[in-house]
Amino acid sequence: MLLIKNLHAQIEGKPILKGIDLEVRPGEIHAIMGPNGSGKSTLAAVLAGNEQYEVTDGEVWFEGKNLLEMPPEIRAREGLFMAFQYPVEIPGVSNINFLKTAITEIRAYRGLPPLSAKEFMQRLKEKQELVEFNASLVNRSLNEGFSGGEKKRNEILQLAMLEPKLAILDETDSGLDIDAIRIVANGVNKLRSQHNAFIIITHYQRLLQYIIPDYVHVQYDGRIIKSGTKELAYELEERGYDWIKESVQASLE
Amino acid sequence: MNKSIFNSFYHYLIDTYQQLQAQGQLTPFSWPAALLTHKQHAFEKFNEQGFPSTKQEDWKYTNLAAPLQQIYQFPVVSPAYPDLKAEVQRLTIPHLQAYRIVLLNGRFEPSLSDQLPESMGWHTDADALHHYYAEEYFASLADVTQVPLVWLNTAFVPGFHLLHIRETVDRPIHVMHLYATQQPAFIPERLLLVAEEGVQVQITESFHQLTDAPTFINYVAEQFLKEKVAMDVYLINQLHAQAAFFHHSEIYLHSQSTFHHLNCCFPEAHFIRNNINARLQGSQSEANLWGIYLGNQQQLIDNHTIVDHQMPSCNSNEWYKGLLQEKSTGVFNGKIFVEKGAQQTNAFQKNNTILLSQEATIHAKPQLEIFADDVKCSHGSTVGQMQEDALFYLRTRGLSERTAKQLLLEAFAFDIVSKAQNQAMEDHIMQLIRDHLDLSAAILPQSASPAHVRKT
Amino acid sequence: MPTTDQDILQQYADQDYAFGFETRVEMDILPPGLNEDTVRFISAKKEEPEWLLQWRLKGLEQFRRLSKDMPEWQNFKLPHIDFQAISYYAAPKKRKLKSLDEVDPEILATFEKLGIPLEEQKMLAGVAVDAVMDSVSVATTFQEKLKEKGIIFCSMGEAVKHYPDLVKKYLGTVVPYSDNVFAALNAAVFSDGSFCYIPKGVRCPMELSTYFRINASNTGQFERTLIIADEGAYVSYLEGCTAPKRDENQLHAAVVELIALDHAEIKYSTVQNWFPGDKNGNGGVFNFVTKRGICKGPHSKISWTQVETGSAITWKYPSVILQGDYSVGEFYSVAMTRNHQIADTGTKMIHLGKHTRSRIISKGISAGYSQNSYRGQVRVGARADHARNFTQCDSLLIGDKCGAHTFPYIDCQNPTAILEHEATTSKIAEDQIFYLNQRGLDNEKAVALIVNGYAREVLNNLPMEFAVEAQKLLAISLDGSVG
Repeated sequence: MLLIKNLHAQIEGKPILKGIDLEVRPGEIHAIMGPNGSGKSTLAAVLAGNEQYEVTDGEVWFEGKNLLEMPPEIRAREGLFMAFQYPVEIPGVSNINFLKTAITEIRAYRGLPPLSAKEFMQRLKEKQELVEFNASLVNRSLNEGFSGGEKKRNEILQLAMLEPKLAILDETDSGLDIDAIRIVANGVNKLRSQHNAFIIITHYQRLLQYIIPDYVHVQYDGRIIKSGTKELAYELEERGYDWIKESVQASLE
Repeated sequence: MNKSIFNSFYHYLIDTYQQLQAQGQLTPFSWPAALLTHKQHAFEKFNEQGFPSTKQEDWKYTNLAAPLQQIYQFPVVSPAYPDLKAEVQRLTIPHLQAYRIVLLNGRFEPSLSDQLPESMGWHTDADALHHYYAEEYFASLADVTQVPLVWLNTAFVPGFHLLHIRETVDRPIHVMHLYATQQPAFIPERLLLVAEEGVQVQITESFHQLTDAPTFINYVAEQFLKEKVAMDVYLINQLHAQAAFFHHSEIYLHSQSTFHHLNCCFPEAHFIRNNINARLQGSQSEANLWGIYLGNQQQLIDNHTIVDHQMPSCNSNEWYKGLLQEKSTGVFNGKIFVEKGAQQTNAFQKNNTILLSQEATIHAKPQLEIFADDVKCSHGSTVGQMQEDALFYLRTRGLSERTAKQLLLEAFAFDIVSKAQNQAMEDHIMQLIRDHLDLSAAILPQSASPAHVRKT
Repeated sequence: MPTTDQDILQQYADQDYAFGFETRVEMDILPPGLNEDTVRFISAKKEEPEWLLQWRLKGLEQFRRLSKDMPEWQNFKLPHIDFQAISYYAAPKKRKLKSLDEVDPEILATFEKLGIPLEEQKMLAGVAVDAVMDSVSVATTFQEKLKEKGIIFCSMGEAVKHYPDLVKKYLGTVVPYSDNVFAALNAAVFSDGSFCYIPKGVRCPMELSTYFRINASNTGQFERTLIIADEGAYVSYLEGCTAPKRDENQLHAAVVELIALDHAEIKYSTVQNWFPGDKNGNGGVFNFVTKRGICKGPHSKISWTQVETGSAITWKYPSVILQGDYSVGEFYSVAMTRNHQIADTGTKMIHLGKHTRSRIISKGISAGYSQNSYRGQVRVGARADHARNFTQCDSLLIGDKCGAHTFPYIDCQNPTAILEHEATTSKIAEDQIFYLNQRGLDNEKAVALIVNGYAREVLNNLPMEFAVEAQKLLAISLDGSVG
C-alpha cells in the first residue's frame, strides 16, 4: 500500500529525514516511536504533503502511484489521512459544512455522486456514535473552542467519515488523559479492517496498549534504526531510548 | 492653498448653480424659506471650499481629482428608461419579502414601488419639503460636519425623501436606488429618516446602475432614532465601474436606541466613499457598525466612520473586513470619540484586511480620541493573508485548493455577514461575496505547488 | 490619608520640577535673530569647512520656505513661535579643551546636581558621557579608552574638524535638511551635538551617553546627533535632558540620525525630562525633535526606547527605515503627561526590504489637563515581501479632564505582509488600588506600582541605571496627578 524508499527531507536547509525506508501493507498497523526531535512528525507532514518541507531524495509510492508528485488534496482523495498533532482552528468554517465539502470532493474524485443531506447526517450520526464523540458540531466552527481532547476526537471522527485507506496518527495521544486515549483507541480499533492500514506515531507506549501494532519501528535522527513487533514497544517503555541510541552510536563507531 | 480642488467640474457646478438660480429652476418644488437658507449657505460654503484634496487628512488616501476629472451634467439631461419593471424584479432580494421603494436617478417611482403600510410615511418632493419634520431636521445633522461634499449635496439636491417610521413596520423596507442615464450625470440624492419612539424597523438600501454612462452619485442621509428605537440598516453597493459614489450618513441615537448598520461594498464602482457617522446622543444607546468590502479591478473603496460617544453608558461595536483583489485599494478610517462626561463607555473596533493580489493596497487608520477616564475602549487592526496552516489542513482532508480558499475567505467574511439580523439578507450578502471572489487569482502567502522534489 | 482616588490624584498634582535651577556661568550669546549672518556666524565660530556652511545655508532656505506654512496635522495647535526672538548660539565662555579640569566648575556642579557624573573616577558604571550645555558640548569622557577600539565618540564640532569625511558622507542622509520645518531649522543653526562611529565588527564596551541641558534664557537648543554603526558593530546610546524653570517657552529642535550597516545594531534610549511648564501651563520646553534611523544593511537592527515625561509640548516620532533585508526596527515608548502638557509622539516603521520586522510598544499615561497622542505609521512597500509588524499602543487615563488619542496609519502594498495593531484605553481600576491597599501599600505607592507595571515592557528595554532613573521619574511625574 505504502512504500517509502530512502526518504530525505529538510526544512529551511536543515536536514530532518535522512533516509527512511518503510513498507506498509493493507490490514497492518505500524507504530513509529522515538525520542523528541527524531523527525517522526516530519515524516507524517511530508507524507501528507506539507510544503514547508523539501524532499531532497528518495521516493514514496502509495497504491502504486508516486505520492510526492501529488498536492495534499489529491493524496487525501487517493485515501491518505493524517490526524494532526495540533489540529488547526479555523474560525468561521463550520464543522458540518467542512465535512460535507470534503466528502463531496473525495467522492467526486472517485466518481461517486454527493451524499444527500439525509445520508450525510445519517452517516455523521453513526460515526459519531462509533467514535464516541457526541459533541454537537452544528453551529460550531472547525476546532474552534474545542478542548485538546475534543480536537483529537474530532480528528478521529473525520477519519471515520472520510474512510481513508491509510491513516497516519501523529501523536494523537499527546495531551490526552487515559479515558480519552481509550476512546480514541476504541475508535481506531473499530475502524481497522483488512483493507486499510494505520501508522501510529507516538512518543509513549501507552496508546499501544489499546491499539496493538503489528510492527514497531524506532526512529532516531531521521532514520529508522530498529524494527520489531509489539514487544519492542514494551522494551522501550521499560528501558527508555538511551540504550538504542547507544547501540546505534556503537555500531557507527 | 492646495488643500482644495477647484477643477473644471467645480467651475461647471458653480456656473450651473448660478444659471439655474437666475432662471428660477434651481428648486423645482417650492422650498420653504428656512430650508432655502440652508441651501444658499451650503452653496456659499462649497463655492468657497471646493472639493477636498489629498492635503486634507480625511482625504489623504482618496484622491477626488481622479473621479472628478470629467464634467457630470446637472440636472440629468437624458434619463434612460430600460425595462424598469424587469430590472426591479431582477434586483428584488430573494425571500426578503420587503416593501420596495424604487428611486430612479434619485426620483421616486411610485408605479414600481409597493403599496406602503400605515406604519410608515414616505414623503417626496413638495410633500416632504413641507412636512413638519423638514424644518426641524433637514440639514441639521449632516451639514454641521463641514464636509464639502455634503454642502454640495444640500446646494444641488432638488428635494429630499422623508421616511417617517411611525410604528413598528411588519416587514423589511427595501429602498432600491437605480441609476440610468445616457450622458455623464451628477445625481445628488437625499434622505431624511425619523424613527419614532419604540419602533423597530429594518431597511435595506441597494444601489444599481442600469446604463454605462459615467455617474457621480452624491447621497446624503440624515437619520434620527428617537428613544428605544431598534433599527437595522443594510447598504449594498453593486454599482458599475462607471460610477463614482459618495455617501454620507449621519445617524443620531437617543436613549436606549439600538442601531445596526451593515455596509457592504462590492465590485465594481471605481470610486466609493462612505462617511458613516453614528452619534450616541442618549445614554444607554448602542451603535453597531459592521462592514464588508470586496474590491476588484482598480476600485477605490474608502470607508470613513465615526462613533461619537456623547453620553454616558453607551456601547459601540465596529468591525470592518476587506478582501482586496487585483489592483483595488481599500481605505478604512474608523474614529471613536469618547467625549467629556461620557463615562462608562464601552467602545470596540476591529478591522481586518486580506490582500489577495500583488497589486492591492490597504490604508487603515483606526483612531481613538478619548476624553473620559472611566471607559473601556480598544481597537485592533490586522493586514494579512489566508492562514497557510488552515489551508493545508483543509487540503489534507481532500478539499481542492480552490475550495479550501473559498471556505476560508467565506469564513473570513462570515464574521461580518453573520451580523445580519435577517436570514434573507445574510444569504443575499454571502451570495454576492461568492459571486465576486475570484478564487483562481487569489494568491497565497507562498506558492501552493506540491512539495517539490529535488533529485540529487 | 486621602480616601478616594480623586484625592490621591489631587494630592500628587503640585509636585515641583526638581531640575529647575539655573547655572550662572559666563556665556557667549548671539543676539536673537535668524538670517544668513546668523548661520555664517555659527559656522565661522565653529571653524567649519565651506561645504558645511553651504549645507547650512540650504537648510536656512528650506526653513524659510517651510515656515510659511507651519504643520497642522498634529493633534494640537502649534503655538506661534517667533523665530526671530530666539538666540541661536549660546556657549559657556570658557571652552573646555584638554581635560575635565578646564571645565568651568559651575558647569561640572550643574551636571553633578543632575546626577550626571562627569568625573572619570565616578565612571565605574561604564558610561561614557558627552555633556551638552545649551548649544555646546562641554565634556566628553572616556574618549581615550574608546579610541583604543577605534570608536569615535566626540562632539559634532570635533567630528567636523577631525573626521570630516565621515561626517560629510553621512550627515543629512537620514534626515535631510528639507525633511520638515524643524529639521530645516536645525540644519541651518545646529551648534553641536554628539557624533559616534563604531567601526566594523566592534561591540562598544560601554554605554555611550549624552546629557543635554538648556541653561541660558531665550535660547534654543539645536543639537544634532549622528551615530554610525559599521558592519557587525553594536552600540547602546543613552540620551538625557533637563532645563531650568522659566516662564517663557524654550525651543528645542534637535535632529538624530542613526545608520546601521550590515548586521549592525544600534540601541538608542532617551529619558526626556525637559521643563514641562508650571501647573498652569506657563513656560516649558517646546520639544520638536526629528529622530530617524536607517537599517541600511541586511540583518541590521535599530531600537528606540524613550521615556518622555517632560516638555510643554513634545512632537517627536523616532522612526526606522527598514531598507536591508531581514532588518529589524523597534520602538518602545512611555509618554507621561500631566498638568497642561501635550505629547504627540510615536513612530514610523517603513518596510522596504524583504523579511523586515518591526515592533511598536507605546504606553501613554495622561493626567491633569494634558493631551497625550500616539501617532504612528507602519508602511509596507510593494517589494517588502514577508514584512511583519506588531503594534501595541495602550493609553491610561488618570482623571477625567485629560485626553488620550491614538492615530495609527497602516499602509500596506504587499499581500505577504502580516501586520497586527492593537490598542486599548483604560484607567486604573479602583479594585486594583484597593487590593494593593489591603496588602499594605498606600495609594501613592499603589498607583506608582500600577503605572510602573503598566510601563514595564518599555522600561525593561532601558539599560539598568537608566531604568531605575526612569522609574523614579515616572513616580515623581505622577505626583499630584493620580486619580
